[in-house]
Amino acid sequence: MKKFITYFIGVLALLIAVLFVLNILYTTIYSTSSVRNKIQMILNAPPKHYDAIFIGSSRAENHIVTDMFKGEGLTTYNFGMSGANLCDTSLLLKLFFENGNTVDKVLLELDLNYMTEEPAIGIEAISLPYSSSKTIIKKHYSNATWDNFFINNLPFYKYCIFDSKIGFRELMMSIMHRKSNLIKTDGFKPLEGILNHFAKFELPKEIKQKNKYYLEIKSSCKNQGVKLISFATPMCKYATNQDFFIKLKNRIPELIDYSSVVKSDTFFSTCGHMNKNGARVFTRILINEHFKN
Amino acid sequence: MLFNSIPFLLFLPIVFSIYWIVNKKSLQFQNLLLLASSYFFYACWDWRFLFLLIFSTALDYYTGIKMHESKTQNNKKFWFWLSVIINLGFLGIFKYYNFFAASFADALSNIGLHPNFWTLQVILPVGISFYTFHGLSYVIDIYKGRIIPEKNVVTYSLFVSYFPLLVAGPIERATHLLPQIKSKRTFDSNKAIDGLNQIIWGLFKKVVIADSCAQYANAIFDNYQNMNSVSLVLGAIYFSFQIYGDFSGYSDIALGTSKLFGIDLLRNFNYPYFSRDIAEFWRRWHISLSSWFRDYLYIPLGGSKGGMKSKIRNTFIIFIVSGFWHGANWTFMFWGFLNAVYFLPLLVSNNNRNNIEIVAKGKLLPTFREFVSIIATFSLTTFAWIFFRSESISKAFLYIKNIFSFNFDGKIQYLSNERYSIELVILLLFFIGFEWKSRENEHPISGKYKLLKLILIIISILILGVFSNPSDFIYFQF
Repeated sequence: MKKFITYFIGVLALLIAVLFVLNILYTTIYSTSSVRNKIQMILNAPPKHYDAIFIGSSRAENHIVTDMFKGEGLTTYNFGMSGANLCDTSLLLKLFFENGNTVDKVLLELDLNYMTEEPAIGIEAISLPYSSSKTIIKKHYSNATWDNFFINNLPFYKYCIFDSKIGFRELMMSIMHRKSNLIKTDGFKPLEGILNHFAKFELPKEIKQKNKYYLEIKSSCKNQGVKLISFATPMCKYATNQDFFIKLKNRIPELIDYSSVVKSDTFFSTCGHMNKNGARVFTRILINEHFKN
Repeated sequence: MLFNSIPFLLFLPIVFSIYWIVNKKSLQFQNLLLLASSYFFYACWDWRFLFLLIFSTALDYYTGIKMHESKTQNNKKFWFWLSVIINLGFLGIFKYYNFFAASFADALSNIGLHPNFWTLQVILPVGISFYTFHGLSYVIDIYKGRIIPEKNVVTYSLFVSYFPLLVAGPIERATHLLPQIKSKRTFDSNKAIDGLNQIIWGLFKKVVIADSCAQYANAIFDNYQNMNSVSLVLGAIYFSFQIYGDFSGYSDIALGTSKLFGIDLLRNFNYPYFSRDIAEFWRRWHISLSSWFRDYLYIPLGGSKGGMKSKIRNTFIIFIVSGFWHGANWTFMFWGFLNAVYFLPLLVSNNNRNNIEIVAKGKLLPTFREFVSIIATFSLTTFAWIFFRSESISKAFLYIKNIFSFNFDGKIQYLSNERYSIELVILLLFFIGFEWKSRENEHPISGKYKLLKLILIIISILILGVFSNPSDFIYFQF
């Protein structure tokens, strides 16, 4: 028995040592590597001044063609993140300001993401490599997941359970300095395809009373003296419960409702997401309304 | 409770510690503890099916004794058939009822009748095929007079329900497992260390090889209409490694776990992808099931006696039944049939026992002829896996048709998210090399450089393992 226990303890010690070494290695590489996602972009890139930034979910990421602002002589970036909820968007904005970036206008896509205060696991995952050095991240996600205890205290655990987001493959990409397409396009992710008219999408029937992260975003902008514009992006005509946007506008009077400014099926890829042509049409509307004197 | 889950990581050390430390002197206590742990392990899936398991155990225990006590052959036959019919009846209801009802309805609809059969919304009790076959071998052995029934109910129940083999085998024999359960186990450090190493190796095969391949194979099989020929070939190869890593990984964890408790289980895999012909493949793949069918179906049917015609008939029967054992779908039966077709030339030419020893024993590399034979055998089995993996026969044929459309348009196109197959191909080549080097041992973490291999494997599990989206063990569904 003694021999086995010694061996078992040896294996356990080896495992723990490997966990510690890998944890340090991964965290160091992510903290110093090239930019592969938008959280990394904020944390690893030098601070910069923007005329405007766009934040929100995929309904921001797929809908704002940042390239079009260059023609207007404006410096912008689309920080919309696919799958992000307001919780994640709020964190991104806090990090943006904390790292010394400055901006004149923040345009927040605010519609479906208003309905939850939960963080998006995929976004939480890409923030975790920095959680040990950035207390703001640790604090922000402190009540986020059931295994938060393990994430914060068990070395390398976060890299295992989120292996598809921050695992070995992503690490190799970072080491090889392979830039993500999102970085090359200033954050805009174009969608292809045309909406199938059988597409169905159900909008929520009820509106959430309040969302604490929306209040947090408002407060961040106010503290920085930055103008916040909240807007709802276009939705296809086949979506049910279209009065969702009216109810949302009633709840948030400052919201600008663009949900029905683009209607043709040819401009949509899915019911909730426009294709690249639709995105250009919508971006033009935003430029005309908010960036022309 | 999956072998690769946190609950099992807690369950195993607790049972192990109590088993060896708290009361190492009493055999009865050891067996009771293992039985209670096994029932708990099984109940973690669905406690309701625990009653089915206990009923099946009680049935075989009782009929076994009754058969032995029978004064007349008729009486003995009665108890034997009672056990066989009830056991197969449960299997039939839970596993095959819907398949037969739907197939019968399809057949009638072809002649213009449209019956409205009831299909049952039944959940398949995990491991039912395994423990049913386990029990069947026991009653058949008693009926044939090969063994006498076990009188101790705890001993017999543990033989059926022993948790390392309960849900996916290996399918044990009473002659092999019962004597070990009945004799007192003393702790053997070397065996326990070997068991621990085998568990780690099994875990590697599951979370690194099988689950990585699963991500790619699923993406390809689910979108086979849009894939080019190279992608489809790769998809079939990935599935070959997925099912091997998954099932042999499970078996390694089961064997390793059992070694921790001082019990040796039957070896289930012996480097099957290094086989030089299909007969050798079937002596190395799912060995406990192949030998079960050989002993309890092929030989009773007449085996190799009675001329070539009956040999061929019996071979087709066991391969097709073996396919059907895997599940109620024509795809599995066709897979079995195809393997029988592969086997036929070897059988007719009497070359089915040419390759008994592991290939290139004692040598670094195989000969060119051996290498070609290995590649050919692997290609045949991979081709057959397409039927095993597909949802229906027609989809399998379409998959194959698309392979032979020789469409090489575009790059290897099967996954979005910037994934490339080269990463997985490199991983598989390393894995094959590792297995090749260790092919004369039960598992690679042994012999020279054991510690170095252990470190490498632990690091590989941590950095290459798929933890965010683990898939169930494939054989749990059987």
